[in-house]
Amino acid sequence: MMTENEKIKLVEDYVLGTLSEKDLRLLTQLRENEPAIEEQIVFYEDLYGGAVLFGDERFKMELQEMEQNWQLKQEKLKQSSLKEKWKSLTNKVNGAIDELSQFFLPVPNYEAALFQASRSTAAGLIAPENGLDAEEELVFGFEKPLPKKQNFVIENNQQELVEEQILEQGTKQFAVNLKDFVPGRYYWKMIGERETVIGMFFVGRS
Amino acid sequence: MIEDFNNWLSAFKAGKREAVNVLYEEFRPSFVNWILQKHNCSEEEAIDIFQDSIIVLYKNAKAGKLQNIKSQLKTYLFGIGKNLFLLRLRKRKQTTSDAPLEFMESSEMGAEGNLQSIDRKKMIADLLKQMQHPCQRILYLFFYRQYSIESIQTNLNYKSPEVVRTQKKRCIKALQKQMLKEFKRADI
Repeated sequence: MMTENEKIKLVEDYVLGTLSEKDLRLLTQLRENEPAIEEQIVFYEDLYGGAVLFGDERFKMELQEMEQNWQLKQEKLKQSSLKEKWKSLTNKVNGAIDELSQFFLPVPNYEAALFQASRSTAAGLIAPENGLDAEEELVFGFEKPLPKKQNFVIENNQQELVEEQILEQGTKQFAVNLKDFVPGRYYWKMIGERETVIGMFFVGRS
Repeated sequence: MIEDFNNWLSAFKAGKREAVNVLYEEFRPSFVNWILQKHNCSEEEAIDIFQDSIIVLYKNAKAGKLQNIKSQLKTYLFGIGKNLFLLRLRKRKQTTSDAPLEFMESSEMGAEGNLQSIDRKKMIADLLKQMQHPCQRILYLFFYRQYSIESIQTNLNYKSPEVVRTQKKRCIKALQKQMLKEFKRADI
């Protein structure tokens, strides 16, 4: 004689689909002998069906939550990749700025000479003024024509010669073409027999 | 990434969240892209089909259908997705064309009993939703996740399997009582 719990176990296993062959035979016998068991089977089938509906809904909610997390994760990944890009770009720009700024560093010896040099001694030089931001050309002018010829040179801040010319006697004005000059700080020198006058200008600072 | 298939499968069958999550993250991008490229649907619908495919995959895993697929898990999941998409398409066509006729025909053929059974199941699902802990959890684990009494005992920290059995019995009785009340009210 089966107990009530054993009968319920049979029904549960039946609706869950985990009933063994032997137990299936037992249940079939029970259904023949105890028609009341049918009611239990219907109830447990409904219960199982309801639990599946409930479980599916719950599972679906869990998956929707996963979707939200997935999207958040993607957004974060996108953000961090944008941040990385920005960082790398900033590093490049900063590096380029550092590199560029090297061309604008002063040459201490020449800077000191700027102060010592007096325009009045430089054959009445009236242009250009020191520290000028030059663009395409630099124009030099004198109060009076040069009494003697002079050497004229321009160096960059690495003290490399970038321009050289001889100013003939009688020169009152001349211009230096700066189109090929890279941005940076430059020093011009006017080398006479008795003295050298040094001046400074910038290219591409602004 | 699913590294050890057998370990993953047993965790997935047990409904472990991590196992589902690994699957979700591994196949979500390719599945949704594939559905979007292959079939004409919105991204929202593609995601919905992906999620439903996981639910079907879970049920198939429970039924022992995933034991030998190992390397073809992706193909298997995508196959489910394809079927679900086609099923939706068919349903959509039915609802826009000859659905009322078919509905009438099936009713005439005696589907009323079946409809009532669907209603009863829906009602039980609603009652389960309203149930409190531990009844809701026990019945969910037992009927949906198909945990053994011993697994429920470990999972919910009960002293013995017997305590779980008694508690489960009480929960079913309470549900049955509530269910009869609802059936009476709804005249099912």
